[in-house]
Amino acid sequence: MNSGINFTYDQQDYLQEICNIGMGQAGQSLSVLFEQYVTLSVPSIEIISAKNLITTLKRLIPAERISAVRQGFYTHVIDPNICGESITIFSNTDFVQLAQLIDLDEDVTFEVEQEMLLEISNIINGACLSGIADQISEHFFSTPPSIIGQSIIIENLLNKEHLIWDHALSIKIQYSVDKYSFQCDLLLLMPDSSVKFLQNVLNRLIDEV
Amino acid sequence: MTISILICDDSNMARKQLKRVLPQGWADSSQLVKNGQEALDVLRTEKIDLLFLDLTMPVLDGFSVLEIMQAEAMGIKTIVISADIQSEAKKRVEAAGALDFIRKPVSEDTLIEILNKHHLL
Repeated sequence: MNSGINFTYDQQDYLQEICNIGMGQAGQSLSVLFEQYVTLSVPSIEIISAKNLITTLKRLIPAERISAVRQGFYTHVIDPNICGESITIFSNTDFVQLAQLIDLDEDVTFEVEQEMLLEISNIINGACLSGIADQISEHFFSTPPSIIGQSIIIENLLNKEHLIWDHALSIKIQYSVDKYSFQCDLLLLMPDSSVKFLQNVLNRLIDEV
Repeated sequence: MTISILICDDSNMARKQLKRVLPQGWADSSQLVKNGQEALDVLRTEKIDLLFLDLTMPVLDGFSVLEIMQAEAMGIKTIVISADIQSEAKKRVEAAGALDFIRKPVSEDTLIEILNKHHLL
């Protein structure tokens, strides 16, 4: 059903640079949150067929326990050029360290963990999507974020019925603050039509330069 | 006199995009490299007047290039072009000797303004 979508070297390079610009914005926002300089790694992106999603995710994300937040995005309510669902996956997160960095002066309860996950995923997701939107001259609307799970195993990330998308664009993000290092992955799950629209925009950009 | 330019960025897109907004005639005298180590190799062997340097790169990043250039007293005019827009990044590169900092993606107007500011045009 979803074979035959491949990205050329140029398309991948352009998309990576577009995501990189988005990540710069995310880093800026995170540095405000942490009141410290945030080191961001070069994002590596990968296009995964939804059929192989869990297998591929297990390779990309070797963590034992993950926490994940989902959020919907779309360019238009009716006939969107691009729509999908983004999932921010946090690997083996040490919430106590995270709370120290944010200077939270309270016990790290389940609810506090949720607040931190929502806040950080919102920053990363928002910055990345707005970076992509600016570069391709679109605007994304988002649905409010919700938690899929805290400290779960990756097999429980997506149930079959959630897999309504054909492809996932996976963006690996590593950010470190002070002596701590955090790993998270942003997955943009999209239908074929959106991936093709994105490819057409990329081709136009490639021709322009 | 032609000005010799070195553009250092790991992204092909970013290199080409910058080349496109360079002042007329500059693109022909510009060389492209894709990480900090490659940039140093060129800087140590050739005469370069102006370096455009990205920060986040594999192998050797832009911060390290600036530090090494400073340690070796290369004295090459450098403008950093980066998506890392944290104010700390700007402070760090200017402390490490860069002339200025431009936020990605770079527009023609911004580039001209910065080049004028440093009397490079």
